[in-house]
Amino acid sequence: MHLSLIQSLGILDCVVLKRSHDEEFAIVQHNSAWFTAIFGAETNARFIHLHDQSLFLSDFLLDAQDFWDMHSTGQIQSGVWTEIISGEEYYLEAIAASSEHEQYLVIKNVEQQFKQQRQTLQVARELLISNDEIVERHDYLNERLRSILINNASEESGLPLYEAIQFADIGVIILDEKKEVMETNPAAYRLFEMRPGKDKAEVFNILYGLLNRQYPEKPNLFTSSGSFSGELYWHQPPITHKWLKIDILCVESGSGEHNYWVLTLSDITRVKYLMQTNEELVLHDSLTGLPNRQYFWKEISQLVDKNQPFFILNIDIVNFKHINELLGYIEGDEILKQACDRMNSVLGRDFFMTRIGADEFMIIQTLDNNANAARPGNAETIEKDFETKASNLGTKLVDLMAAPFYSNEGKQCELGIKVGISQFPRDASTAEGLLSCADIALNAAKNDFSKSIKIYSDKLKVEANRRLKLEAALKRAIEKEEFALHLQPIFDLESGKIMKAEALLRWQLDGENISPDEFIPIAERSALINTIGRWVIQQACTIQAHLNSININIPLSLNFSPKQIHDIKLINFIRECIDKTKIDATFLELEMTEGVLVHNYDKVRSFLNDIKQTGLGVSVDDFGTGYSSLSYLKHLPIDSLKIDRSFIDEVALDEDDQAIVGAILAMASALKLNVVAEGVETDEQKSYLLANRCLMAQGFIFSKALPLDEFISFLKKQKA
Amino acid sequence: MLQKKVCILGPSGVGKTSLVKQFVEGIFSEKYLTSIGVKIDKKIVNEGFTPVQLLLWDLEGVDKYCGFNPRYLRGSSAFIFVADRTRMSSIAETMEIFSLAKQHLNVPAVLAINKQDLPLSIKWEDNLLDKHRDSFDSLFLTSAKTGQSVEQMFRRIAELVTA
Repeated sequence: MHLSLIQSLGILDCVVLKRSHDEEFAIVQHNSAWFTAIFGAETNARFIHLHDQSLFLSDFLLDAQDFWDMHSTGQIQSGVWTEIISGEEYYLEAIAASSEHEQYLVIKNVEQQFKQQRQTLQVARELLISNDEIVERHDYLNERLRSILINNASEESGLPLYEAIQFADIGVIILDEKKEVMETNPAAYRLFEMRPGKDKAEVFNILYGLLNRQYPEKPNLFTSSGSFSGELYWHQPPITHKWLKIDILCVESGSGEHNYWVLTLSDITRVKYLMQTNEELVLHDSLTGLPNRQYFWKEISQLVDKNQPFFILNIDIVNFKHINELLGYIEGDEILKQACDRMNSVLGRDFFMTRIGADEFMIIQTLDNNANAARPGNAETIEKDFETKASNLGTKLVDLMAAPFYSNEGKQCELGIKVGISQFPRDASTAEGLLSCADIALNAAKNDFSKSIKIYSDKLKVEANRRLKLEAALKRAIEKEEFALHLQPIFDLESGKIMKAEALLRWQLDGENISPDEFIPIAERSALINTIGRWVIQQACTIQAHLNSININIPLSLNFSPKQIHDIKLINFIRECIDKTKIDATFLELEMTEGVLVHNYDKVRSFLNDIKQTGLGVSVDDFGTGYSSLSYLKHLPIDSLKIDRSFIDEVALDEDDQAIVGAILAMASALKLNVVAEGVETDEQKSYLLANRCLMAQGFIFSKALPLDEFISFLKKQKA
Repeated sequence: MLQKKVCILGPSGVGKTSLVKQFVEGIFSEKYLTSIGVKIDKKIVNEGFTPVQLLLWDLEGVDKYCGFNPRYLRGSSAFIFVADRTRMSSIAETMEIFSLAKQHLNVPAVLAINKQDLPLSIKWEDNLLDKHRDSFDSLFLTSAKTGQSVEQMFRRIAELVTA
């Protein structure tokens, strides 16, 4: 079709110019009034000199010049710009193109596309801004309330908490440990069009009902600690209906004695309205273009209704928040898009990938019923095949995501994913049930450092229930006196004398010894670790005081959880314990893993300086297993290193382990740091360490961790 | 007449176009109308120093729908970065855009914290602005609606580009 015909049919409104030289162009096609208005070219003109008629175009011609000078084929585009002539706006775009040594400049009037694009972007950006404002206000209020509750200000006077929520324009409900409503602010009543009454729980009761009905896959919102963000639909016949954003945050008080739940609520009906005015945004995620949570529910419900077998992969990007903090949100979004593209690249047409949360994705793969029926083997074999297929996909995604990502600025970052898999109809007969199974599998994967993928099984459900049971029991473990500190002696290898002891936490629940490997991660996830950590410090001080009273003077070292670095009053607590028990602070030492030191460098430096000022020692636990950057050893006030047991296991035989241990000893010697070898269990290991001037060690060959009375007897026996 | 190109940069919805409109035409519209692409306005500033015609390149806001395009910065004599005081995240986004722009062109830059006429629902950290103040030649607390500090900011820009 000839260009003039296209133009006269209104398909394309453009001017075509052929470059003669520099700014001189032959007019190939021009039938547009706007071109005359902007560039001053008459309809019958054959040439035009483009100089300063349009500042934007003059600027683009510099790029066009470079492009034409390269004599390459193809084209470059200017992007859209606006010209205003006599009060009228024109929306234009220019293209520089080359073809067989001829150079063209095409100027298009893109008014239609501009208006359509503006309509879409207008809604999308209003949505973005409204959403940003709501999220920001929630985050701000949550942080403020968390700080007040942690610092127990509410208990001292009640005022800061009351003030913080009374005049907030966000609805706030605060629950105490027994899940009883402590406070409901006026904004929360207003959201439900109620007046504050005598019953503070009125609003919460409505919310609780909505949560149970609309998030059936999250039955443990108020039993397990952590946080939740979601949206609720509230309808009060005949006409009132609202969409609400809800955040639930579990906060442990600074003293560690209480847990609070903070619920914050906002009306997001306008945001929903904006989304509905743009159909694309209703079912798709605006950042990645993937189907969103609503679309996912629609899809999964349809599959369940059709009774079609399928599996879902519940995917969580590990530590994505950290990437946002490190690179900023714009770059963080870019990385997230790259991650989606990467995952999408291995998915075929029978996969359905959705973004259901900030860094959470779901993939559904359906299986053809007829194909299954035609396959040999029983249902169990088919399910097994199904499981293998899901697992293979998970492995492929994990491997794919392990390769580094690069931001636009060229910064490298690494993302990992955890995957939970469940299968319909094997694991559950409803969409909610299936999602709950995938959630259990994902949580199991998150809790397992060695595995990135977990497939749902009844065993995982039992384990999840056990974790919930342990978490509930942990909250009462201190008051029920179920914890004990055992002491494992640390020996001088040359003299055989006990030089120090490591205090190790033991928990006995209903006669069962619960391993620290099991309960410490639960405590760390639920923030109970601060309470437990404080109990350990208090107990260690009491034990030290008791040892001193019977003339035993040896330093005790205590394990320090990475989470405790956020306990802002910990340093004061340590000082109070030391003052109260009147012990010598230099006889206490904190053991930290390398991860704590590297991830929170600024916070740790300040904390360790306070610790050193108080008089305590600091050692690096599990040394060698963490990070390659050793500069922290130079900059942080560290006294000793504990070589991880994984290097000691084979040290008498394995040349690699010998090289590593040798290097650690040499480095420690140069930096004047003490070294303790952990996990020494054989005479060969002991002899090797002694021969290589590792002067201190602990392990079963000497003694396991002992209850206090046995430790004292052991010590006395050794002295005798 | 001396002409100088000045780019107005920032996230979407912070009021870049409104600031230019207030400065060039002295008007403000309550309705938010998103910008697409580039629009160039001109205004002569001739008070107290060399008269200069500012060529104000109002660039589409950077967000998930429109990336940062360094090509438009070419030949710019100064930058105006705009953030929205009612959205704390816009400060962080503006600082990211600032750092991207500075990698391409190191010219004088001012920061406008716009929408001063609106109430704050969030209390800013006291030192948040102090942290960024030194990165810019000047910082202005502006309102495109009331005109607060708008004239002063563009005059400062004129001063910087003619210095």
